[in-house]
Amino acid sequence: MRAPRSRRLPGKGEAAALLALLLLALAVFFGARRFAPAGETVLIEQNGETVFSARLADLGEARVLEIGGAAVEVSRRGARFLESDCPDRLCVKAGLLTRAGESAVCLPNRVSVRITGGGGSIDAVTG
Amino acid sequence: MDKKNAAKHAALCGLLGALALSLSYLEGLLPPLPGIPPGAKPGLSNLAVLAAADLLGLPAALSLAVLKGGFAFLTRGVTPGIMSLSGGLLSAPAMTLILRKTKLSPLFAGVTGALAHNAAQLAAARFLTGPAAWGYAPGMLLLGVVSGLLTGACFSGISAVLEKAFGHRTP
Repeated sequence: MRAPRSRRLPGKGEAAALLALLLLALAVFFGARRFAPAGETVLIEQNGETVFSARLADLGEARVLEIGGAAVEVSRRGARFLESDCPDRLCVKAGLLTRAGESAVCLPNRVSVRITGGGGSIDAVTG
Repeated sequence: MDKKNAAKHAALCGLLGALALSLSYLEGLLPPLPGIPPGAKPGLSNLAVLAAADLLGLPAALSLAVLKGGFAFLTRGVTPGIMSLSGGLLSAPAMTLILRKTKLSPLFAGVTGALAHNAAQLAAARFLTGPAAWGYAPGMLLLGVVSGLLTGACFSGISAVLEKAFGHRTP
């Protein structure tokens, strides 16, 4: 009798596919962090519309923007949710965003912050 | 389905529903772990949906997803409700399909379900906020694979006990 579907074991092909998927996910996750270029612009959106956008280089000392129920700090270094009235404050816990592609979303407030740019340009050459 | 089986079906569906809700609740009590991004959850309640998909079929799996969404809505608010429901409505059919229509293992079903769940949530978040939501995609991908393997393995482990206790399976 064949094993019921709940106790089927993965065949060789399936096991290989699962392992490949795991490795791919690890590569994407750590690759996205490590190889992301430095950010160039910061974009803050609320309800899908841009409410603030600036080049990081043009931003001086940190300033705080009140958007909806959230306070977003933008500075030359990057941007972060400083405070928010949402229940779990995951947006605040996301911390400082500095690299292109990094983003933080405050779903209850429908506010998001993302860093873009740096596409293809070389930030610095060492050695 | 005769009367006796219908009663068993309903009882098992209710039990799995209760299991889904208690797992959701327990998961919320877990402290944030170092190295794991804030907000990332292992999705343990998908274990109950996976069991429902296997033992009872698609209608039961979908009703569990709706129950989970309603629970999130009542206890945590509109946004968590939308996120839970959108994830569940895609992952329940995905897991049922893999488990019942293919020869793939519960591990694969768990991973497919978790990835479908996360993809639907990502799309919902994109719709609610903006393109910034895509920034979470790499984390959601990794989390989906790992938590899917976890729930799939757990389900394989407990399925023998579940079947023994209920001796019930909708073809």
